[in-house]
Amino acid sequence: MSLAPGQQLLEVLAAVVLVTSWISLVHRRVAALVRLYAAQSAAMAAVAGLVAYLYNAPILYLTGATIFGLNAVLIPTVLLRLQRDLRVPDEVNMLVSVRTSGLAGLGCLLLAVAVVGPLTPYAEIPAAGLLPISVTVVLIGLFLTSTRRKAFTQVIGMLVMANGVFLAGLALTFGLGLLLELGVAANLLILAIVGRLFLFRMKDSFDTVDADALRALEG
Amino acid sequence: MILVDLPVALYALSLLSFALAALAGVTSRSASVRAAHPSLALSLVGLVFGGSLAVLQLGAPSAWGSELVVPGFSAAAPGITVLDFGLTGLGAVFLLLLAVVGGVVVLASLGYVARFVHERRGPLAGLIGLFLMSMELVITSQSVFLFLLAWEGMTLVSYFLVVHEHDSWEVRRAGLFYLVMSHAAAAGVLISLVLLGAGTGAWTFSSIAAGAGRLGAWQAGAVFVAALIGFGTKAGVAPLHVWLPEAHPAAPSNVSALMSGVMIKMGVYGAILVPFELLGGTPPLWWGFTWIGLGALSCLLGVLNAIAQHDLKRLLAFHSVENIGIIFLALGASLVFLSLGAPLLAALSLLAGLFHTWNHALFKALLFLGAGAATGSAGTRDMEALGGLARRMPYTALFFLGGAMAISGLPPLNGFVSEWLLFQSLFGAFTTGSLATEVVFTAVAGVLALSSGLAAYCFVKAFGVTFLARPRSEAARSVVREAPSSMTAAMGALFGLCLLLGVAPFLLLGPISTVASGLVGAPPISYSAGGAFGSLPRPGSTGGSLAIGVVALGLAAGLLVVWLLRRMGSGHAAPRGAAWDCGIDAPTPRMEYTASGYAQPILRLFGGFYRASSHLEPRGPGSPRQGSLAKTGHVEVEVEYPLVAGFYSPLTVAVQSLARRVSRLQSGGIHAYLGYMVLTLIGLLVILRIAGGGAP
Repeated sequence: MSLAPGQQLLEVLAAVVLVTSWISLVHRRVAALVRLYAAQSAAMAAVAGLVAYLYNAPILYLTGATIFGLNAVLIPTVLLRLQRDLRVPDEVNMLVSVRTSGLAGLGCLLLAVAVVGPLTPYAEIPAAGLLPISVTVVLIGLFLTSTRRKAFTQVIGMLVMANGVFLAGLALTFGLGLLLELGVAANLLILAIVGRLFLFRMKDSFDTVDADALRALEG
Repeated sequence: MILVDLPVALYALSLLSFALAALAGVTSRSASVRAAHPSLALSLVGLVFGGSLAVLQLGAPSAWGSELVVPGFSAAAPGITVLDFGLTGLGAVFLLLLAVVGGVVVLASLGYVARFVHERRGPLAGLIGLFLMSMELVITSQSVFLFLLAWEGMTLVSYFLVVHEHDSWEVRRAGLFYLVMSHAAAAGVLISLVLLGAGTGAWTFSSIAAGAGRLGAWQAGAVFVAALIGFGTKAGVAPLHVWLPEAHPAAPSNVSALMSGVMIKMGVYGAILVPFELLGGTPPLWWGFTWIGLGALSCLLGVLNAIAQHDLKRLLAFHSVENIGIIFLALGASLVFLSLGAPLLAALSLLAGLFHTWNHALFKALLFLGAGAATGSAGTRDMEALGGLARRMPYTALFFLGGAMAISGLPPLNGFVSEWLLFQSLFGAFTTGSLATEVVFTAVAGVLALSSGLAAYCFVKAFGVTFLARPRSEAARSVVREAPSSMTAAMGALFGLCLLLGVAPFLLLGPISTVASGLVGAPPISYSAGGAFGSLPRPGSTGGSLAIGVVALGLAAGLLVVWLLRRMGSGHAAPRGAAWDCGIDAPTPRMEYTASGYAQPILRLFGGFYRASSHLEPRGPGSPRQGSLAKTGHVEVEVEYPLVAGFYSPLTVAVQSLARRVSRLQSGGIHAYLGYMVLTLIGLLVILRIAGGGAP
């Protein structure tokens, strides 16, 4: 089956989003996670732009620009500065091994394809092929959040998850969901701010960004 | 035209008065007795309006069984009527009951609340107004949602009433127990009504009743069982009765009177509502036999436990269980007769059940008020510490004795009439030609007779030990005054009603029997009518009939003759002198017959029912003890409840250990929480994949 070049490019970009999130699972450097997130966001912005071009939905150019400015540039910059200011060690402390993480990522992909894949032929929108990938990214983000010890990496996991949600929105409601996308963007910003505040507070209180320290709060 | 519709106006005014009563009671900051009075007076006004509505509905034969749905309130989401008010004939029977008993209890509360003046606890009067309102709403709800709302409201308000004296640990514990049981019961009610609604696709009672024929046998069975659990718990039918003996003693006495007199009758109302009004049709045989079995169990458990009790209010609570058992026997018999295609007998049993519901409400409210007056003055509920109150509280003693006679089923009081009716309907089993029914009903008649006898035995103790002989303690000696006049007046009114319904039961039997016949689709029960001297119904060719008025006249005449004979013989008046005291100077209270001693024979006879163990506690450290010849001592009788020990305690332990296990989930680690989310999400996706098959 041959696809139009635009469609092929869309698939490639979606693959980039998928692969970056998978690499985040197996990488051991915090700074690299941030950069991977930036790359992923840039690919997302490109997806938005491409969808805008392919399906003649000019509003999505705005979406793409927002994603690029916010997710690919602003948030990574903030995060890298935060890492420096808080002197977060560059090592990712994992609760599960790298190998398990990688396999779990593949599992997420299989599950998403198994669950959402059958839905795509019924969808009326061409970009519905992005749906399994977006679900995978959400699951990977969630996994990343729950199996990394540092609060800092957990914030990154949530951001990855938000990207997955974003991608799903793009796949299902493109051209229509400006409000939704702006909302998600605003949410992201708030997430970053809250995460920043949280990390500072935590550093103050516990002198660490290891979320295991929160166990002391158990009632 | 709707605005000038009399029933609607009465209904609205009634609810408005209750709302104002609640408002007045809650907002009043003053701690004086007078502050509670406006609120109670408003409640009384609400009850008068509600009672008028019920009388109107019962009194107009054309309107019987028809519904009075307030239009304009049916705020509907498409297809679902959310709110629907109305009053059926069955509802009117209970609404009148609420108005009469509630009114008298509110009257008693005018004086009773004086006890709570100095203790700034909760707005007792306002809560009572709210409680009455919620019960009126339960009765007048004609849709599933409104009913559930009113039901939960009733439960919550009654919880706050139970824990009124919340500075006592026992009261708080009893309240919690009550709340937990009630919520389990509410779940049963919810399941039952929602199953009905989902099965018929209708959410108002009238349309559910119309569509109930569509339900499958197992669906109807599930509805019945869930309703039995839900309403049975509220009514206090064994083995779901365990909250009753905890909650009733904990609550203030006027609240106990309301709860035992009226609120548990809401459980009876619901229990009748579901199979008779909503499900309709011919019920399977096992429904009736289930009710009969539980009813018989309640009778025996209730009365036997009551005999073992020395806490006056707890004793009364167990008698509520017994009487609810009698009511369920009657209702179960009615269902069985319906299954066997004998609607006339079904109507008679239902009549007996409804009438006994009324009677129990009257005499149990009377007894609780009497117990409240006695124990409130003495400051203890332990009968072994009471005694000799009859001299100081003559009216309370007289009315309590009347209530005790009524609950024991002695003529010419009302308890006798309803039990007689029930016996008549049970004997009707011999006309049905079903051997199993004959055997079971004969046995049940035996259980009923036994429990009535034991109830009389128990109330000899309750009255004798509490009111007669000499005060057994300082607490009892400290009682010097009769109860407040509002309380004695209320008790007098209730006693008068018990007597009236005992002598002239037709005043109430007429309207109730029309409702009962309508519910089971039977022709009206015929009386050999004629006011107070008519005879009670005679079902078919069996059974007897009884002209209760004539019996009462005969009794009165007999008393008159005795009195006259004594008058005539007064020329030879017996010489009066000091009683022989066995050579001991002055009989002391320690020589009196104790409640424990009195109860012993029954405790031994029915040892299997409760594992009663008694042990002798030597008085003082150095008191000699030689076998059974201890010189001074004190016997403690401990009663275990096999039901509690065998079922409820293990259940509690299981729930608690489960809760501990679940609480381990709360590790405090954020990763664990996030992990739960991941697992849940993945689980949901897998379920979606398996169940949804992928295709929308």
